[in-house]
Amino acid sequence: MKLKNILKSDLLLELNQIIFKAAFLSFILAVIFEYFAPGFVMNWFNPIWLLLVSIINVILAVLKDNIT
Amino acid sequence: MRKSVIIKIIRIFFALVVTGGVLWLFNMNFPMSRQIEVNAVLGQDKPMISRLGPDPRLKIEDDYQIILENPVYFDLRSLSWFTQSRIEIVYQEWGRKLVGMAGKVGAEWQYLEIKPLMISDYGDGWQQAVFSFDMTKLYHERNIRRFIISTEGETGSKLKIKSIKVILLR
Repeated sequence: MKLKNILKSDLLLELNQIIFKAAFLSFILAVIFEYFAPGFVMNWFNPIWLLLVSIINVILAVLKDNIT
Repeated sequence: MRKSVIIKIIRIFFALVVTGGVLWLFNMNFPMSRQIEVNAVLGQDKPMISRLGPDPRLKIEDDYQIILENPVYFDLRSLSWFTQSRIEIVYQEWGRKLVGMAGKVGAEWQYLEIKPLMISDYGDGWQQAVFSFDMTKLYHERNIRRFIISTEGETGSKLKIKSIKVILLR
């Protein structure tokens, strides 16, 4: 039940929220830049990874809600 | 250490990561040197430069790109503030000659053909042709511009390409 204890801690929830905000905000910024200047972001980095990180964070948050 | 302090440190860290990411992107797109060098990876699509096409006119042999028929093309995605480009092709002629390059200037089959600015002979059979394009004159769709490599030769003749380098200039 170690995982349950970790998931129950508030620190993890806070960390989860911070990472989600950072990743999702970066993704939105990347989409805006890419819309106005195609290639500005996509030439160097694929922002889909940021969306993936955001989704994983949402899944973890939902998982935590279900456990606690 | 109190929990609130840890949270604050993590928050500052991620804020710095996001700001750093944005600054890095600006640095990559507005380089101090006012130029970007892009090397094509032969046979592979890369974010800025595509592989050569169409496939039936090409093949890869020992990591070299072989042109079997004329013409072949590649796409380049570059930002609008790069107004000039210099394209360097290192090649070897096996019966097929490199005639020139062309940039797409219209939505349909409209191309502006140009001859190489200079051709250097490396002495070991390899040659380098340098082309210069005014990017503002080229047609683009969402910053993607198409270039054609024009060759001539009989059926069965080949042109072997070692590298394609694009230098974008502001």
